[in-house]
Amino acid sequence: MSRGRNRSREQEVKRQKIILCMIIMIILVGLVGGIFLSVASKEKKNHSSNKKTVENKGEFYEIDDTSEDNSFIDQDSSQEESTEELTSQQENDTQKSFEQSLFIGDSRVEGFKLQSGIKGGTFYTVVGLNLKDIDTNAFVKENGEKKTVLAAMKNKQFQEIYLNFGLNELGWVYEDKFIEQYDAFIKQVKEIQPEATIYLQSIIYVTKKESESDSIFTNERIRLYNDKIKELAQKEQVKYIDLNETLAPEGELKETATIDGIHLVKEYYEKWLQVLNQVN
Amino acid sequence: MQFNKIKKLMSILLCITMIFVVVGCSKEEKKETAVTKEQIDSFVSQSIESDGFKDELAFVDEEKALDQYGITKEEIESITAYLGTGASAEELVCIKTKDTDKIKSLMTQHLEEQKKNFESYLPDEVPKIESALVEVKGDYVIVCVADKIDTIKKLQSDNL
Repeated sequence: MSRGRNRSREQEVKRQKIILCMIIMIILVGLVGGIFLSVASKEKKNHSSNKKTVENKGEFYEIDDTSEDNSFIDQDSSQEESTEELTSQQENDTQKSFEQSLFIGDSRVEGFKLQSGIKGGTFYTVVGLNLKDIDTNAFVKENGEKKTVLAAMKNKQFQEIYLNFGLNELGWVYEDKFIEQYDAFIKQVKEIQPEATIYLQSIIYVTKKESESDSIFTNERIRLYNDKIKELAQKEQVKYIDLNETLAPEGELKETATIDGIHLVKEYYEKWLQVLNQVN
Repeated sequence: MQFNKIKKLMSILLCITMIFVVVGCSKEEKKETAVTKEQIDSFVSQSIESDGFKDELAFVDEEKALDQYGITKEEIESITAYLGTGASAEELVCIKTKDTDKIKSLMTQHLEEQKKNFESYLPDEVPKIESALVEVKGDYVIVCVADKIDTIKKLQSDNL
């Protein structure tokens, strides 16, 4: 009997030793595993793929003050040569101050805002902006509110106002109706902003391909509208800026100047800015 | 009896060890969702250079970018924005902020406005806006409207 008891005790002790060893092994495995995971994670953090850093491509230069001039002007053709020499914003030495300037226009002016490198300026621009609903289209965001262009303009006095209409109105049946509405708009702007110098910018041509493939966006129609805009500027005694003298001197945009036949590439938005830099 | 005490002690030690292992693993998982500036820069530059966009996007300075989205400087830590020529609704923007919920909400609102703007102007852009990438990764809100959004989404999951 005692031998039997001894044997069972020995077996019990042996069994308990085995259980103890298994518990110790599990603890060790758990510790080693935790350490391994920690090290592997740190290695993954330290190892990173190609790092091309994003560069800031907007650089700005000295700012010149300009004086106001209410006389009717055309773009000086000699300025075309000087702007043609500029290949990018980064090669320009000076930039006119646009801090007190307001720009109103469509998707092209939106592209100008984003890609020309212009410093400062207030922009009331939206894709598809059209004179037909200028009084009701509340797209200008100010202090959490949305306002029409004319309502937003009442909050601040600007020194210069650059208007750019006509592209989205090329499809109007009567171009004189466009001029009538543009004239009414200019009068309203003058009433709200009596001290501002107003500039009417020409409609920039489209490419030959776009002009030949579209019944509305044709260079012939753009030419007609620009002639009428120029006459309107004279009538209202505001300034006219012929952008095409620099951007499309041959009467059509080069294919390389645009992304889709209508909207400019960055280089040409920068050239547009250079034109405005030269305007007095 | 003594052996029983040892067994109890080992069981407690085992439990403690397992707890440490589980907590350690979960902490490592949390660290892995944090995104660095280098990762964002890499994602952005690869995206811009990919064929994901039809438009030519250009870098826009902070002032213009904040104005574009109606965000104040105080609401963010940094913004990297690439915007188009006016020919499309395409854009890529990464905003670092402590309040990712608010910025994500503002950007979602921006996309809704873009959809309205392009519906009558260039309706072909609307599907791009509807399938836009809007993600929060760590402290970054990432928004992208692209011609090939799957390309950009793949670059995002590869880099971030």
